[in-house]
Parts: sequence; structure tokens; C-alpha cells
Amino acid sequence: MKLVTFGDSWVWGDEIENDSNHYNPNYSTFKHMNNIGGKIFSEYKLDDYLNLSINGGSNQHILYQLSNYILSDRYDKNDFIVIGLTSPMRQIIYSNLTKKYIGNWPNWNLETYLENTNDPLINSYMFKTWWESHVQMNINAHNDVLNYSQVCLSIKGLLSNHKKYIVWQSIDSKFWDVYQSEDIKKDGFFIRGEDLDLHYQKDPFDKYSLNSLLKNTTTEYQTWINIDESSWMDYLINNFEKDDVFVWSSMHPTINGVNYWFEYIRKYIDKILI
Amino acid sequence: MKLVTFGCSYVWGDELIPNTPEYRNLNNIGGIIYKNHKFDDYINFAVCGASNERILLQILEYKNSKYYSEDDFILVGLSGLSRKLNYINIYNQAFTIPHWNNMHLTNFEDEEFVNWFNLDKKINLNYKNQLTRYGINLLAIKSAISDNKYIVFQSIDDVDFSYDSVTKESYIKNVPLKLSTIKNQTDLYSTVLFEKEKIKKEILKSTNKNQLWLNFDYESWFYFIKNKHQPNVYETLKKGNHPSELGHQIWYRDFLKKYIENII
Repeated sequence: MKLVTFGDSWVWGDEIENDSNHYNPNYSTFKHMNNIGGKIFSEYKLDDYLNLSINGGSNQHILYQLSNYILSDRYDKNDFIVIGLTSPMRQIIYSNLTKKYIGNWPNWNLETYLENTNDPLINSYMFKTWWESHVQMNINAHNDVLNYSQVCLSIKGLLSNHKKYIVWQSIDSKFWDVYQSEDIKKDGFFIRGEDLDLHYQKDPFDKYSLNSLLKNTTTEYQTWINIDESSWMDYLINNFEKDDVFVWSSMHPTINGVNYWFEYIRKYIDKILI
Repeated sequence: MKLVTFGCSYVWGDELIPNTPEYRNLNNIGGIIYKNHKFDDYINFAVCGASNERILLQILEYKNSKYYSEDDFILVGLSGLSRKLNYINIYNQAFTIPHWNNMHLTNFEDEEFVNWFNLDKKINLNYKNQLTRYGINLLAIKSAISDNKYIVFQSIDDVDFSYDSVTKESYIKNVPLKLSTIKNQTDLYSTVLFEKEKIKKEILKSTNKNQLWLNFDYESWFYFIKNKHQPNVYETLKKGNHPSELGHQIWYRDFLKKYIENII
């Protein structure tokens, strides 16, 4: 049985170094053996381990990777698939202007984006104007919840035949609280009441409804803990000393941060693999 | 068993005259199916101007309501691929773009909003974005209705044209993807969501004989009645390009009927 992992930089293993004074932007054997997949791989003595996570990836990246993988020669229905979901704020947007996708990580801050890109867009007034107006118009937790719910349901659809998997939230689960507090009309959720006098019943995208849908008809080996459990990041923040579990940038877990999360979720993995 | 329908203005029954709920729901596609088969009830959840995201929302709303039953037969008429539902901060409400035409900006006329709308159209309207969204919409809808008998078809738009057109957008680089192993890290560029046969294979996977996806292999309702069935297109399509009573009847009689009979 292979282990195959999907996620963002947390699952990829960003900033996990054997020399903490030197950042290595490339993947390495050390990262592979000490990131969360490496830990699961060695603890459960699996046959192989492929890491399909993307540094800076979005949930749409995860969907791209997962759909590619399932249709590839490497795929085996007996693989153990691990997915660490990321912030729903991140998106893949193909831009006619940049002629590639805009990777809006870690957030929708234009200065951060321009600092991290080699696009000629740094001088584009049109791009800057679009970015700023897009943030002003569209960045809110309602759009996040819509995007997140769709991706979760899509992942469930892709894995409907797959025997063993676990899905957790690596970072950013606060959007649910923001969503509840936002003063945006949920008329997108209303039943059209005109014809049959049906009226709004319940918000289908509250996290409990989504959780129930994700768990509907799954087996005990198909495990969604992205809503029941806190995110990996929140777990570390709430239970450990910051310097012990986060690297200097505070953006990624140390090896201890990886190991603590593994110990926390191993009860779920034991159920699936033992 | 209830008949429960989802879709855009086509399934809703836009432009059927007189414009009353009673007449519309007797003569729209759901009404015709209801009359011709033995259903206990018929509920039409379709919404004028709906995107496929909006259709998903309506399905989830229904699944969370007292009206849901695993015994129900679900009919989904998918909408245009360029339509998208956004929640807009300055209006505190949802805005669905029926298509990229300013005629739909009534009530959304603030200068800032119109500027964003025009820029977003210019910068982000392309087939790669559309097909990414379409693939996600379909997979999500599949998950949401997996317990029921259903038929999904395309009401409007030309799906093949979108998949053909995306191949011409090679000037927009695909998202770089990686495979990391203990030995090395390699680049991957294949993107399943842009390839019709591949995404179709994923959609059809683990469906049963009572769960039909007709959107990939057959043209949309709009093109079906426009191209094949009438020398005089105005007998089947109204001025606003919605099916007439005859357009609804033809879609049932010449296309959907055989599939419905096989299922129920």
C-alpha cells in the first residue's frame, strides 16, 4: 500500500530543514522523511510514499492534483490518501493579462503578491486596479464558504470509489466564524418560493450541514475530520509553546509541530490502517 | 416518488405565457414529465438566471429541507459555463452573472462595481477558468445527489465548444503541479478538468443505471430544438431564446422520455 499526500506547504514540508539556519526552497530527502507524510510512512511501514502537495497551493490545486493522480498509471485503489486542506481564500484564477494563473498566496495583499512574483505586472495599472477592486467587491467569507464547500464535495466525488483516505484542515478554519458574522444576505440559499410557497429552511452551507453531507455514505475508512477537528495550525497554537512548534517565520510547523499533529490524528489513521 | 427539478430559466419555464405559477408548472419540462409519469408530487427548484453554483445551492437547500427524500427522482438542467455566482460586498448580496453582458447590471450600477465587472471580464473571462469551475460544479453536484435517481443534462451552452476552445488557450500557461518523492521532484502539467473524456470518466464513475449524465454526449436543449426540430425556430424558441411550450414538449418527447422510462 502506497501513501499519497495532497495539500499546501504544510503537507509539502516547507521550512523543514536539517540545518535550521538555511532555508532550502527545493524538496529534499530530509523534507520527505520528516514532513507529515514521512512520519505516517515510517510509522505504518507503507510500501511507498508520493507527495503531491504544492507549496503555496490552493484547494483547487489539490483538486487538480487529485484528479490527475486518480487517472494516472500510478493510481492504486488500495493507496492510503491523505489530504490537508488549505485556506479557501486561495484560488486559481487564469489571467488573460498575465497569461498564467494568479497565485494569491498567502493572502490577497497586492504588495506581497508583487514581492513574490516575477510578472511584468508589477508596473501594470490595469492589473493593480483589478486586484484592488476584486478585493473590494469579492473577498468575503461567503465566497470562501461557497468555494470551500464545492471543493470538499468535489473531492468526495473523486474519492467515491477510493477505499482509504483522511481529510483534515491544515490552516485557516476561521472563515466559518466570519461567515456567520457577515451581514450578507443569504438569498443565494433561498428556495424560490413563488411557485410552491416554499421558504428558506436552513443554511445549506453552515458547517454542520456540510459536515453531514461529507460523511453521508462514507465508510469508516473514508474519514473527514476537517470540520470536527480544529485545523493543524490551530491545534499547535492552542496546545504548545510557539517556539517549539513553529519555525522562525511562524508560517510552518517544526518537526515537533509535525510530530504532535501526527500523534493527535493517529487515532483516526489507526482505525483506517490497523 | 416526487419529481424534483433544478436548473436555470429553461427548467423554470421562463417566457411561458401566461406567466403564472400554475400555467408554468403544468407546461414546463417538469410539468410535462409529471403529467406523463406516475409521480406523487412535482417541485420545481429552478431559478431564472441561475449558474451551476446556484443550482448546487438549490440542491443543498433541498437536501436540508423536509421535502428531501432518497426516493425522489431528480432532474438537473445545467446552465451556462460562463455564469458564476459571487457574493458582492458593496451590495451585501449574491450576484449571478448570466452572461458577460452589461444588460444584466440593472440594480448593480455603482461605478466601482461596473469598473470591477468590466475589468474582471477583460482579465479573467477564458475557458480555463470556465472549465475549472464547470468540473468542480459537476463533481460537487454528483456528490450532493449521489443517493437519488437522477438525470443531468445541459440546458444551454455548447460544452464541446468549450472543451475544444480551451485547447486553443495554450498561451495561458497551465498551473504548474509537482510530484515529490524521496528521489526527486518532477513537474506535472496534465489537467484533467480541461479534458472532456477524462472528467466525464470521473463523473460517471460509481454511478448506477438510474443516474445518468447526458451533458457530455448530447448537445444542449437549446441547440437541440434550435438545430434539429423546427424549420421555423420561432415555434420552439421564444424571443428571449427560451423554449416555447412546443420547445418543452419536444425536449421531453424526442430526448428525455426514453431515459426517464428506463429509470422509472
